[in-house]
Amino acid sequence: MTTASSLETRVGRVTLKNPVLVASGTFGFAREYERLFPISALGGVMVTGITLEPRAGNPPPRLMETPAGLLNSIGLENPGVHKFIEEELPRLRDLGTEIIVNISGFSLDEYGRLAEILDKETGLAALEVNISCPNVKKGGMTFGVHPESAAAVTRMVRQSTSLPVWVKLSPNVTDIVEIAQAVVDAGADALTLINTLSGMAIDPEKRRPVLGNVFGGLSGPAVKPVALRMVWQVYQAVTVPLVGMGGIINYRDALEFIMAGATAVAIGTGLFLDPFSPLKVIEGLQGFLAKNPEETIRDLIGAAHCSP
Amino acid sequence: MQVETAGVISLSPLGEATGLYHLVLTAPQIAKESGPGQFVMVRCADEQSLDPLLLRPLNIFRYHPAAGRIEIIFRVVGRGTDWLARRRPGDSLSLLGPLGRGFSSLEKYHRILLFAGGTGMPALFGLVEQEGKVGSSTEHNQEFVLLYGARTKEELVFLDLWQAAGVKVLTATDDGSAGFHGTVTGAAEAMRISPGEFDFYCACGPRPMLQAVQELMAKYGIPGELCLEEAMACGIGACMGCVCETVHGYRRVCTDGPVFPAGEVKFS
Repeated sequence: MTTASSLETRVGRVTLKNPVLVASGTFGFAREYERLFPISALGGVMVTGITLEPRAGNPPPRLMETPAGLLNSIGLENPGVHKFIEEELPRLRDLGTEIIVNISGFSLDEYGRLAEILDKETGLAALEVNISCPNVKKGGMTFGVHPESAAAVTRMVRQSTSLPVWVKLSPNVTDIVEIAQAVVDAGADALTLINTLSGMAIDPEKRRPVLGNVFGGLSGPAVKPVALRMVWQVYQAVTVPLVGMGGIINYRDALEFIMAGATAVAIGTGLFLDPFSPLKVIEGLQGFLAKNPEETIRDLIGAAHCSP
Repeated sequence: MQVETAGVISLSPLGEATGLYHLVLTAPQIAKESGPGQFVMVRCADEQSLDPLLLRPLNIFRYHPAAGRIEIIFRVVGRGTDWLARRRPGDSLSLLGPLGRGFSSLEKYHRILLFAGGTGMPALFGLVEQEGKVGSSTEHNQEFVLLYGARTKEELVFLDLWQAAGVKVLTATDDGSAGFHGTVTGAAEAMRISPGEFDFYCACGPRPMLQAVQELMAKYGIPGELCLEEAMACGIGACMGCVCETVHGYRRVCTDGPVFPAGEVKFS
């Protein structure tokens, strides 16, 4: 018999009632989706990227649909950490699910201060350290593409908080394993991957780039094979838990990530094609496990690596 | 706001080779909650298909809470709307809506100028036809004048419906095939509006038109509201993808709009 506990999973110190999270930047502060379904059904919410100061974000257009994909250049529009704590966090605490706050800095010091400020707050499950946003010119991705700077950010956050530190990796690197190892050595409790792939689009009539920021980040089903390959590689190289994301639309996509080595998964762009997709993924995973009563979701983590 | 499975009652092309279609749907929940200027997100792909990926935001033309129906007018502009134009009666569609902050109540205004450009027209019809309040314009002693612009005569649709609602309709076409030869703002200038003739305006259409309308009405000192059209991802305010620049900074077209008070949106 499949029970709720067969879906329970642990990302380090963080216990999730099920392995399905929603990805940062696609779910806001849960205000909007709360009107459509109970957020408590989710394994957790990775809230929109927070910076020390408020950010207006990039000039529009910020979106461009591509074949089975989406380019975005939002540019971390957010109200800043103080307003976040005042206006969003009290409500988020009461949603009945794990809250993971995504943080972005423009210097090492900013990452440290963000971690320090959020460390004083209750009701947070973990910090997700964004070292991989492709849409901001300074900071953001530049930290995430070199092992030394990625490790330095991780160390800084690690020293500034007792919360679990999850580091979000950029796919825009030559060797993601090298970066993964560096941030694990620097004290990351878990890794989340992947962030979006840097890309662009051009309007032939206007003879200009479509996005106001010229470059954007590609997400959606188009990036899934790349994301899956990276989860597979990183799983073989490190021992910390992985949260896999990149184009997950249905439960079979989620199973692929879990079998590649992810302890949990996150849905982002999938929300835009169906706001209920996270709930359908949870249901689908339940149905899959029901076929093998002895098995739990934890037994499937990395299952594809075992030779037959 | 909810996800509702809507049934296609009818889908008909409008005019000759305009690319415009009129879609009538059963969607009782959305019909019940809709207001003027609101929109729905429509999934425009087969159930298992991932392409096109995103839902399409479409203006609600008419909503009939009692009959549980909504009507939509759309133009085929890409793969999504092309898919939509190939539906048949009896097909199901997945809708999310009604969405957005629509037009404010016009109760306190008496002489209202409406500016419609192309597929912006449907967003305005709810202002003159509200279910259960048919004839409300005369009861409130309200007078509506519609300035409706399109590229060519064939694209000016449902003029009879506007006239039946008691609205004075003036048209403008880019090619001069009907009404004023030029833009709706050109037509408005040709009207020689006198001070106090109109006390409010509402506009929906392409950005260059909205910009010209906003500038002209500011010159006449007439307050109003503009309804924007923009590509969207989530449609409900979460992703920050559809922002426009306003005097207050970036604002989400999907939830802070699509209707904005005149003077707020920065077009250049």
